[in-house]
Amino acid sequence: MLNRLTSTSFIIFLLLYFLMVIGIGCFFTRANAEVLDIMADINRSGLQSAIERLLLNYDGRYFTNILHGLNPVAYGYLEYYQLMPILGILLFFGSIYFWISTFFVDVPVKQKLFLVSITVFFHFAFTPDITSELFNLIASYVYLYGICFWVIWTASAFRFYHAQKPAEKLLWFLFAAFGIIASTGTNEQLIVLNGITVLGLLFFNKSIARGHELIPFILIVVICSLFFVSCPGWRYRVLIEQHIHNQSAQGIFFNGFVSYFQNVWSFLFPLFILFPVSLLGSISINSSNKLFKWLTFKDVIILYVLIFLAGFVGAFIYLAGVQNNDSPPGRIYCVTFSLLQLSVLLLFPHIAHKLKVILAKRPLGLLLVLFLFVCGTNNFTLILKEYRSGYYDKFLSMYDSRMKSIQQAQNDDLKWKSACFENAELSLNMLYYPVEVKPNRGAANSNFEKYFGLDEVYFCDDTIRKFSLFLKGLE
Amino acid sequence: MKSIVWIQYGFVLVVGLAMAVESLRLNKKAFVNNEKVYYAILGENPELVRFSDKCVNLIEHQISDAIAAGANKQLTDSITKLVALPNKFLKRIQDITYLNNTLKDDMMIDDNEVRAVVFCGSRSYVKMEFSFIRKGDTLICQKVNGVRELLVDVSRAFP
Repeated sequence: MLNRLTSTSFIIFLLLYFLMVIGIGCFFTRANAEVLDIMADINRSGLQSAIERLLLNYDGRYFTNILHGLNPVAYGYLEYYQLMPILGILLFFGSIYFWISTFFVDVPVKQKLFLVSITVFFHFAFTPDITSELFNLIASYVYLYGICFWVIWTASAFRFYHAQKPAEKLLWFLFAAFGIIASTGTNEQLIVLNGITVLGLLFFNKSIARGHELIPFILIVVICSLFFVSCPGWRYRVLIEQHIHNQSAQGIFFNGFVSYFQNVWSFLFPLFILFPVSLLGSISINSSNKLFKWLTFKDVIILYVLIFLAGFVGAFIYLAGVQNNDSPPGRIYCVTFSLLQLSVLLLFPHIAHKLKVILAKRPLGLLLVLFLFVCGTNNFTLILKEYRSGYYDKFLSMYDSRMKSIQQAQNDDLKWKSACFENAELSLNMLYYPVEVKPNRGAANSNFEKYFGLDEVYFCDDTIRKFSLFLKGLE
Repeated sequence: MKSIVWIQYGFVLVVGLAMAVESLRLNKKAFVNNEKVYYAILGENPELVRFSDKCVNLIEHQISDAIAAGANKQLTDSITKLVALPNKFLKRIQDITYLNNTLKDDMMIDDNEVRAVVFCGSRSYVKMEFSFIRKGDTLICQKVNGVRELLVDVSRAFP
């Protein structure tokens, strides 16, 4: 009785804490210049044209580019941008729920909800880059949505393989096919992950006679990957990145290894200690894992090797583009982090079954977890710290002041419509990825101009103005 | 069960064909554009200097093509034709205040009136400056050393 009360209180506390932090995040987050840039294209020339432009000039992330069409900013609703992180959380929640429902045997709905809630809470508390996963929508489609689609397709493929009725088989095939098409089109890392996943499917297939059922999945992965890499924009971008990041292969590998293992090391405590303790402490399930029942012990070991390999190779794609002196952005480890978290979750029924002794000491374990949540360093405590310091209020007043200047410029009856921004650039924080307007004009100035239909956006104390640049160019 | 297999492979075929066709279309477009890519160094700010018609905004592409012949008379005619395009296309043109029916009446074609260059491209590599163009602006195309430049008269901006 005491245990049930404790676990319920724990989950309610986590839920309230999560809602509070995400509430603060949604309230203060704002669209940066990169978001405005892409949204302006959709707004002006339509989604199809904007997708085409990106595929021709910038990347091969076809499904991310389609997802940009979901952004209300593209249709002039700038204020609804703040609600978009909730959509990402719901998608992540839904896909993990689907995944658990697929692989875990006989878990009641309430316990599944608890499991998913704790998984989602942990994910966003410790993900290496919550800004890119949630608050910078352009990156969210790449780093969060991609893994959600992968989760959906792997669970659907498993259901397809074990379904008996033709209608069921067809349904799960279509779900899996959608997941493959969507995930491959979000992120280069997902190409690697999907490639390794289909290799795993072939390897773990127990029946040679049924091997042909997997061929369509493999074909779809191959087709989507080929489409991705054949896009002119992707090739164009690789050429530019190569030019910018001119370093030796030896340097790339050395820096890549060091950076990768440093990051994975930092995941170990939250993912392999804190996360299982929270799960064990708050949920008592008597379940097993369908996947593990189906696989031998050797297969399970190989499965984990493949997961680590996918995380490593996926991260390495981006590490190659990081210069010697730069530390790689945390977002390149989001997929690795998600994979490791799912691998721990997959083990949970077995841990829960075998380590019942921990359940008896639940209150102590939960108190420890709570203490680490509230007092330790994680994304949520960092957001709360920035909030308490008054930084977000200052940020918001600066952003609002920009919007007022823009509105005023739009309403001015002048031939040359210009908005003057006061103060300096908006610097980095947990809720805003600073693709920013620069003093004396930078790349992002034109993003604001394009979205708001202005001739010029500048800082009030700029000494170089757009006019002078044009005139200089024409000399 | 056999029907499921048919559906599966049918689905794969449709996806494969659609992606192959789209990939060919994009690459063809990129190839055509690549032939025309050029860079004009127009200042010290690297974000403003790259100038390329690799940007494939439909409207600009159409205008560039229409203007390709270069002669002023032809330009006027081309733009008249452009404005007469179907509604869907016309709507896009109006959306970005790029051209509209009144523009052709005001159009003046004179290289002496060139004041500024329209930058185009995408995202952080090649910046767009479409916002620079307003309804009623004069658009000018000129060829310099075999390179086409789409220009806009911004004399309105000067006091």
